[in-house]
Amino acid sequence: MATHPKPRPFGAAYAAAGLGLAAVAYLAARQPPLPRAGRALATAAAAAALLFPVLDLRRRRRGAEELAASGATLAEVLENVRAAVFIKDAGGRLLVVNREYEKIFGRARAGLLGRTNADFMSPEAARALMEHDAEVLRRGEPVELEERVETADGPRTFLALKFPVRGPAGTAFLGGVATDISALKDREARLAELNQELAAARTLLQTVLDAVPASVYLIGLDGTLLFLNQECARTLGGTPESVRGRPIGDFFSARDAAAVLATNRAIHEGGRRVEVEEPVVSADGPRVYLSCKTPISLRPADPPTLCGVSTDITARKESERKLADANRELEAFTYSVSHDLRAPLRAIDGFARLLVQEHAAGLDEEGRRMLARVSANVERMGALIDDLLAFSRLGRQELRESAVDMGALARRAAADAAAGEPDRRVRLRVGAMPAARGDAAMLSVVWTNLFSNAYKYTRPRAEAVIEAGGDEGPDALSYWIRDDGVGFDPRFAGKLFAVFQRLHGADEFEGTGVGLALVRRVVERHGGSVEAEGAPGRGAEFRFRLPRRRP
Amino acid sequence: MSAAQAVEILLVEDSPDDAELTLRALRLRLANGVVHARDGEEALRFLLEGDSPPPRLVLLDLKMPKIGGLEVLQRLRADPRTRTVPVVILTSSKEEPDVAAGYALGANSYIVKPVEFENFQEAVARIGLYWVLLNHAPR
Repeated sequence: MATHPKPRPFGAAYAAAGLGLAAVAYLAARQPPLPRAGRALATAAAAAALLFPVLDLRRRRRGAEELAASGATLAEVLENVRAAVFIKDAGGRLLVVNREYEKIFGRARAGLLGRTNADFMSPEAARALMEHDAEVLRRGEPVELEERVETADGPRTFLALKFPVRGPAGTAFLGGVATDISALKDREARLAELNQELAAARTLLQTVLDAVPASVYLIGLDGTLLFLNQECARTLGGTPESVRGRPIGDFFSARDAAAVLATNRAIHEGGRRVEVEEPVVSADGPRVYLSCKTPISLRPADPPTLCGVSTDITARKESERKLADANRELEAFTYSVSHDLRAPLRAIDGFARLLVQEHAAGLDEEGRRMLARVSANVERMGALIDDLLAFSRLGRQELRESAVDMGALARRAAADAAAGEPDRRVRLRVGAMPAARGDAAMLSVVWTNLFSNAYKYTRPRAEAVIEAGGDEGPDALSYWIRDDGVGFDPRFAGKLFAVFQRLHGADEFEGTGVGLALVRRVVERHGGSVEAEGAPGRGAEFRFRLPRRRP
Repeated sequence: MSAAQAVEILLVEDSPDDAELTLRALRLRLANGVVHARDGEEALRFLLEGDSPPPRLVLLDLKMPKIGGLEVLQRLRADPRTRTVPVVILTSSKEEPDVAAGYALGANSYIVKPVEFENFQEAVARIGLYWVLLNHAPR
């Protein structure tokens, strides 16, 4: 922004000088005892004023009284004007000053006239002013310049018009009119400061935006890129300077650009921030961007624009696609396991039994016993396959979230387990427990496995005790079940939850080693954790925590 | 495969083991009239190209080479001659998408083959009794 005053038209300088001279003539006449030089100057000034073309006095050819009267009026103005008016002789001694001059230096006229600037200023300040004076006299023409002046109120800045005046005898004088422009200068300085701050803020903003590894931009509804960061320019194959102000159609294919514009218009009409996935061919090739776009209007009169932040999610989309592929493969694998492994088992079992049914006569007791072992193993393998499939299915299933009455699930699981072993004596206590949020079917798998384990491993007890309950913490819900069964060696606690890991032989306690793995998978899919405590012969306690979820 | 006598059940099953076990289980309770098609193609040829009346029941396996069970079912339901023939899917697959697709294409029932032979025998015999003796289907 321009802070320097424009050079004034030369004519205006002359006018001011003429005005000044007329005043000087009047003032000189009214000065208290004037030195001779002063009186001569007054006469000269009056003559010069008369001759000054701008005032156009000559053409009017007025009488002396008339002229004096007119000068008196003008002098009155100059006496009262808010600018210092003065005349010095060639030696720098003040011959004429006006009231403002007195005020500026805090001195009465008597203390100024006949003195030089050096008499009431520091030598340096006075020298600077007097150098200006000498320069004006040397050049012989009016000069406008800024001067630092030591006033009664401290150093101030003046805009001074200084002009040479020549007496009839050829004596050189210097006239001047100086206006205090300190306030203006201060405002200029403040403005410069503000401009600097503004520039710094802009730089900061741009630096921050350029550091963002995403495209940040302002775009008009017509597709013009009004503002953009470095990353945005890079993906468009340019620089912020080369891209700004251009339509996106210059950078994208017609189809991509039309799609983006249509999306933008819809978002603008919606009036709310929207996240959209935008597949486009950018300077990086075919990419998918996740764009968060917000309709904004900086000023009501501005055309509607959107502020966009677009992140390249091509890699994420690619891994999502791969994950989906892997899941589909797993699905296919699960399917063939379920089908292909079951079929031969059925054949083994079927023909073994047919052998017993139809050829019993040809088999002795041992033969029949062996065939029974074949069937028992088939049954076991069938159970393994079913559990494995259930385990794999649990990993893939979507969580269907709802409020879950954990107490009801636990009581039902306990009842099922009890029904499976009707002859057992078990003291069962299912206490109060907090409701959870999660997939009810999956959480029911947790309780079913935990209660079935508790019943299984308390079988040696004549009368077993199985208890379950839950507590509510600030961040998590915790549930527990404990029994007084055979327990386990805590050194192997970590193995309990792994698939197909068992701490007991199948002849001791039946099972496939999948139940607790299922428990852990369900709990972890709910964002929780599970742990077990126990000692051989002293029972076991299982505890799982679920984070609190909001609906 | 012979159409000499009235066919009561068409068993569509590619596994010779499963086929034999199924046939044995069926014949335990039902005398004759069971025909075995070894894959979907053979089943379609028998049902859509022959001139014998449609069977009282089609027992349909799902996973078969060439033409799978679901496609056989779709083609049967698209043909006016077999649109209403009762079809029971008898398969190893417990997968929910298979169950859903089976019913969506117009299966009358979906049975998962039990692995244990005694259960299997019992299931197959019941299916036969129900659909051939108890059920009344349009002719």
